[in-house]
Amino acid sequence: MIKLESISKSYLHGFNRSFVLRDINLEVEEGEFLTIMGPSGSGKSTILHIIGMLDEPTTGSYFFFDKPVHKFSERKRTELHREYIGFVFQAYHLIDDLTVYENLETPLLYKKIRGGERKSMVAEQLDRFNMVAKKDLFPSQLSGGQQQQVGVARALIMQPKLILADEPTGNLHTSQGEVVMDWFRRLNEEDGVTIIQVTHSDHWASYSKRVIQLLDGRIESDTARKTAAAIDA
Amino acid sequence: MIKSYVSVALRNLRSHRGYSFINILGLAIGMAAFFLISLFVRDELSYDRHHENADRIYRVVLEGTSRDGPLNSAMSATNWAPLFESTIPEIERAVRLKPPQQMWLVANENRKFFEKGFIFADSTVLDVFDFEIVQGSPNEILAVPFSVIITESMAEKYFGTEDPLGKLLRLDATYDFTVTGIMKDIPEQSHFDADFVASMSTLRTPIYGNNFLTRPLTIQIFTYLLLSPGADPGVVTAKIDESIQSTLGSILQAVGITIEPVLQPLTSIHLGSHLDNEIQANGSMGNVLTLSAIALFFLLIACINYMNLATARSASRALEVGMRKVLGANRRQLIGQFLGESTVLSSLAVVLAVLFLFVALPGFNTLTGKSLTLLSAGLLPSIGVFLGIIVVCGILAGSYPALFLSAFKPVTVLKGSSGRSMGSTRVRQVLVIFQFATSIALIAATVVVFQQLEYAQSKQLGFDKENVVVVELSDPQIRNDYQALRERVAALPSVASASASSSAPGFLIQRQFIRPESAAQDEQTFAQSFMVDYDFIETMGMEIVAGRSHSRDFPSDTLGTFILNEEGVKTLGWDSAESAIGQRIDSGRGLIGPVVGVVKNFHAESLHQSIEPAVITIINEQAYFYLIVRTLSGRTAEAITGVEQIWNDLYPAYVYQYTYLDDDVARLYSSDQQLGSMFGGFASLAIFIACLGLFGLASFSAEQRTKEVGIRKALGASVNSVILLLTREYAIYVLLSFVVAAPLSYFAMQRWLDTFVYRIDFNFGTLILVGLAALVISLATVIFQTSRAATANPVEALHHE
Repeated sequence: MIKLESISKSYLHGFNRSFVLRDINLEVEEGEFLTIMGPSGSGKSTILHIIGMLDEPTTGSYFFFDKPVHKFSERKRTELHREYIGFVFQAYHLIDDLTVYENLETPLLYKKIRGGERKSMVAEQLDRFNMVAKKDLFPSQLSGGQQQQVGVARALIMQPKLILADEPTGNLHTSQGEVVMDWFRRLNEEDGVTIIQVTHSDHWASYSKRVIQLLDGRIESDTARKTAAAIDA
Repeated sequence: MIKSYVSVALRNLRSHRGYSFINILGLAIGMAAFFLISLFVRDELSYDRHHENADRIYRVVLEGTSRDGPLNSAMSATNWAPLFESTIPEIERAVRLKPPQQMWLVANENRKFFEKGFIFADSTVLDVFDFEIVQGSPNEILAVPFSVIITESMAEKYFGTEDPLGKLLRLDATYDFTVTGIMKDIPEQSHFDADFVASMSTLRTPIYGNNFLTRPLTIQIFTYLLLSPGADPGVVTAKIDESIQSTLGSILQAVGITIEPVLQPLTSIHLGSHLDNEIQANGSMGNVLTLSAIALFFLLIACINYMNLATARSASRALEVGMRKVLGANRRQLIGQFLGESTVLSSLAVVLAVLFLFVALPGFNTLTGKSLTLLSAGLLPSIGVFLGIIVVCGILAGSYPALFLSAFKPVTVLKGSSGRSMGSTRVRQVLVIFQFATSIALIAATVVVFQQLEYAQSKQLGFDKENVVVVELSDPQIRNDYQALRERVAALPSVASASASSSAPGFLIQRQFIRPESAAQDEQTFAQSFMVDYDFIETMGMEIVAGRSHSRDFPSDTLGTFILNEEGVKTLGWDSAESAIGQRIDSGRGLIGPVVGVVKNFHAESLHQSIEPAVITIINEQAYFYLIVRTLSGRTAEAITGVEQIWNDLYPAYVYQYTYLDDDVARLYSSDQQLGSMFGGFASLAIFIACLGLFGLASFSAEQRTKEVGIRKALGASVNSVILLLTREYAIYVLLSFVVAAPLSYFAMQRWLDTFVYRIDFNFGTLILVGLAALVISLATVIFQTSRAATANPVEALHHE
């Protein structure tokens, strides 16, 4: 599904070039649940942004379902990510001026889905996440956990094949975090959605099946691991 | 999608009320000013276009030279129209118009009014112009002498509810006219005004002298031609020229005059024709163009405000943009969103603009002398214009923010860099500078116009315009009793002296030919002509520089003695005022006599005109059009009442009409005054809008820089030094604007001042004062925001970050 070949990302600082990512090679199959870990500044978020087509590598190739993303125009990348990818953020990043309902509806608007269909998709999602009563509230009226729930619901509404989550539980209490991670696990196991998350915490990493350790922009280790459920057993 | 744009836009407006208010207010003022000027410009451009054949109607005017310079006459000879119509086949119809030289007294028994709209016209007037006849038969209406068509308003004024047809109107208490038709009022957008149209054949009677219509070379009538469809005006002009040269060539040669006919298209008269003796003062294409430019600038300034504020606020919108992109928005969709927002805002602004227009229109009408309404252009076109303004402003104002904001890269935003909009700073600076440069240029223009007007008011005109009352002697009957009037007026205790003249400053100045008796017949000079009574020089407060004034001690003064101005002495070729005394002048009409005095040059016309030769002669009372009364200082009101009593005693049938000489002089500058007032009004609005924008910018900038201010204060910066730091930026904007505006105002205002022969020099000190004023105003605008930022507690600021 995802194939990164010799991906580097660097910035010019005066006369020095500083590397955020160096020569990353990574393949992710459809249906994987992958965690990217590493200290601050190791390049975790940058990989996620490149995979999510929000950022471009300085050098290297990126194939998404065998399509050469690194050669695509911005418009084409937008189409691709609109079609396949959902994002979840640590800071939720809901649009403040929109209600819960409208936040959920926004991706559908951009995909030009018709009004009737849109309504039923949003309604279904509200129902699925138990937020029907909150649909007319604004993000500022919700708790952090509730906001992240909307964030996840919004990421899922287009039924993406890939979910990219940047420390999705970082701002949440553990119990709220569990709820979110349970969603991810179910999506991964029941619907076969590919999930890539970035986290600092071993606990949240334990939900995934494969962990990549980054250090100074390089992949330090790439280990398949047993799921938390397997450890418990 | 649209619905979502609109609802987001409205929520955005609501959640940032102050920002929205500044934006809407600025846009609304700009739109209102734009619409106001558009109404004015449209009105000016629509003159005379209501005539169906407007594109085939031409006025015959004369250009040429006499020995002392160019001749430019809007009038032509009284006998040309019928001549041309019968001899030149390309002319379908010709018509002569003879507007009155002064007001006529028109009466239906006790309903008496002075009217200036009483014109004489050939019966062909209805073939050439579209006067809408509502009663009477167009073919017979002007067929016989002493018939008159009146407008509906005049019908009401003189006859109330009665049917005026067949009734009589008495002109100047002497001539009875039969009302033969009623027409709709002539639209205001017409280069001549007529409330009464009387038959031209009336003038075969002695009203204007017996041979008024048949004497050759009586350049006293307006001639209009309706050309056949497809006729070439150039060919017609050539034929007219040929006809003039063959009939008048020898006479013209004898008096040393060349004339060349010119055909003016009817529709170009109002804005394009500024000849001598126009029917009424015309508009100016220059003013129309200047105002159009100002209108566009207004729209731009207002839209720039929006651009500035929207991009200044971009930091707070960056996250939203980033998120929307992550959610799949492409750039075009985001541009759509931002344009939607600006369009919603400009729609709200239009609503406010309409309110402003309701408030502003009466004053604007007073200023321009027009009667414009919101719907002057008709309901649908007006709505169309408003919709157009909404769309244009929406797109214009929204374009830059839309392009700018939609270009944000989501990664940058998500990485948490505040989205501080460095890239846009330069553009924003340019926009602010543009706004302020426009404001400064407008203010400078206003100041220059008023300085010149002040100069015109205070300049020594060669006579003393204070404490002088001018009473019109509009009728031969009145003039018959002039001597009795003058004696009794002069005897009033509040009156210093009284005289009379054929011309007076502020009114039409007549001209005549003069030459030294010894000079050849064709060496004539065209001079301003003042045919006066004794005491004219003293009453006007003119200054004798050589010889003497006319005096009753010299009974022969009535037989042809002349007083020249200095310019006259020079033009007639004498070395000095003294050497002119005793020289003999031939003023035509058999009047030959000596120069007895020379007066200092005086400005009978406006300072736009140069001083011309002038000749002052004593002639009998039938030449006097104005009684001129010098009152004792402080007793003018008493004198006016005194004269009125005498007047009512002598002339119970006539209305007493007087003006103050200083008002008459001021009236010469009414269009300059109007221009100045308009500039002044628009300059204040422009600077107000610019300051609104600056205020908005300052508040955002203060917000953005709280952290910087906090750090600086933590490092020991004083409040004052921080204020200075934050304010300096704006001072630099204004200085740069000044640098842009100064040369522009200099060149523009030099050109305007050049329309005056007597003018002030462009004063750079004033320009600098204007710049300083702009600086002070703008700093006053931002000081509140900057001082608030500067006095904030640094700990709070840093903690907040």
